[in-house]
Amino acid sequence: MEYRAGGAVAKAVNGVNLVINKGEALGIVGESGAGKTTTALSIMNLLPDRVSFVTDGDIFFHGESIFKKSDREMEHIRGKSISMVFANPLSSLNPLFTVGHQIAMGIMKHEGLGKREAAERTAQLLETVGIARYRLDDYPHQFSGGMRQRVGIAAALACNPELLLCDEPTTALDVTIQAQILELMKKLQKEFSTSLVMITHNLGIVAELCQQVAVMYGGEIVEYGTVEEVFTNPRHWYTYGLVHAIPNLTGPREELQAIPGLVANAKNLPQGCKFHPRCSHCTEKCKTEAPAMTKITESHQAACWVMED
Amino acid sequence: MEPLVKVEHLKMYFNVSGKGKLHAVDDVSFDIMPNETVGLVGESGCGKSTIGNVLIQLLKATDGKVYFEGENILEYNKAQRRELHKKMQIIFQDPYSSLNPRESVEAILSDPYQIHHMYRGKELKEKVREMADLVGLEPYVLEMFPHEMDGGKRQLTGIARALALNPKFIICDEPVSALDVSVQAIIINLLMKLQKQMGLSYLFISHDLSVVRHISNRVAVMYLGQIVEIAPTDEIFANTLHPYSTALLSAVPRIDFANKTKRIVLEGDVPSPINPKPGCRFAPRCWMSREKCENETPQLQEVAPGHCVACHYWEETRATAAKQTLA
Repeated sequence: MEYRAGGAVAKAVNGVNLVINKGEALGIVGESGAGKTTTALSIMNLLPDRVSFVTDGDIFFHGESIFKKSDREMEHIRGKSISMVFANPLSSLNPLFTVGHQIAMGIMKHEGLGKREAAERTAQLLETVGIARYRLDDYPHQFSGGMRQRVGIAAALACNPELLLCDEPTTALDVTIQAQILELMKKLQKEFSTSLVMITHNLGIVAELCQQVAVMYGGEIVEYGTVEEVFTNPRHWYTYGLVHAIPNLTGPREELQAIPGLVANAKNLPQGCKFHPRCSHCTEKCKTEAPAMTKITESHQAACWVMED
Repeated sequence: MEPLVKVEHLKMYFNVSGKGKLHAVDDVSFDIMPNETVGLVGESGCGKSTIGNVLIQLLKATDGKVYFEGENILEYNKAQRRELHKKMQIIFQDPYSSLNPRESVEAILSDPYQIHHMYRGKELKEKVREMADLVGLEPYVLEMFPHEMDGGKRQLTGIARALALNPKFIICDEPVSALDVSVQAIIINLLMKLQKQMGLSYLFISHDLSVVRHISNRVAVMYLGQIVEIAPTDEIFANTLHPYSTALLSAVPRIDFANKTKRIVLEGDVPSPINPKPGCRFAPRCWMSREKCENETPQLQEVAPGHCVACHYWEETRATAAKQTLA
């Protein structure tokens, strides 16, 4: 995936392969500019046409290519089979419609329900996310940040999607509200076996909610595997850096290991391993040849030339 | 030892037209020793930043006293305040909006010296270079403008500016919240190194409990304008006594596969701080709440050495918390 504008080309996502099974939760982690959100928007086929170009690759949903679908076909998938929760609920909700109306619109379109039935369904949805039914006719600005995000989640869940993409859904929220939303997502996974893609920079959230995790850097997945294996035994030095840059809530307080340098610029990606300019274990080979994903165990792989045991 | 900063019964109320008074900070007392870092945690809107802004006198307190080196700084006149700012500085969360977009880093770092007529000419240039070097900014950065820098460099500029006049006390208002984790680690390490080097005291305001645990000697937990618990860091993280701190700590998602934490999920949102009801402010969300909590405001009392908590039933918190957790 590339963004082109004003003569500049930003290689936002480069050769990403992901598989999400039914009922599974995948976490995508990485720093800002790693290509996390772009990956999610491509799955929704929501990238702006004029500046974004998919140069290679494809995305299959139930075995069918998403890029080959017409706009009309995509409309049937979006909101019905795949839906998305955005980072900033204030900018993703329409300020001119009541929340009840916004959620009901999707239900009426996709499920063919009448106005009254859709309103009833909306009220139930809001109750599942912990918002009282009488608030149906309120506008987005009348809600607190946490409630707005829950409205966004309710809207995304309206038609029982098979795949839910969450782009930093709790970043703007306080921890106690975040806890409420994480519990809600766990419940959904259990009850409706919804598949989940969780994009976040908070490794703790991924550890609690997801089974699989993909670590992204410079538009590539550098490490991929079960959450437990990746976080307890990171094999890419970037993952290692991320895990050790965060202070702990328990155990001894050790000096934080900072990752020197800046996040790779998508307009000017380095040769070889994208992480090599910041890596403390960089070798000559890292500077010229890009490492491929190597299997460490059946359920854990990483792309690094100097993996250590 | 005398505390460097002593806050007594500080109150900051804002008038909300037609609605009454917003109790942003309501009767808060604490102190900070020389060379100490006190962490201030709580959810958004609990009054953490307001305390910082009152201490640095960007806001005029409604009531209460703030002593700095034994003098009540709230009674200072303009000239005295100006002198005070040599000893007391602040680092803001968003360095982008706290740096003048029309000034280069060099000009930004020169400002404190020019305002206080301390250096000029060659000496000034040298001093600015020295400050940049202290925080790890390379000389070429001095010619850059805030919009040309990434968040990390901007925050480093903010820190260098705060340090310029060799202060004793720095208020850090969410200094790392807007940064990526790798940059966050750089800033935290730097702040800790500088504290040792220059003998600084920090009031470290943050909502990130793991960062606060890492940097602080003592931690104060705020809820709706009041401090509900304050204790030495290790003590509070091992043994929270207020139900709110207990729930807050349990809510943080963490990477720990060996002992999966049980989470206490609080019902509802933080209530409005406009004309709060008497009694314990946490009562509507608390699992232990009973009649006394709704009528009588609990006072902060010392229940173990250095460990103060404001709860009528703090002895029951640990025992009852286990029942609140979800598997």
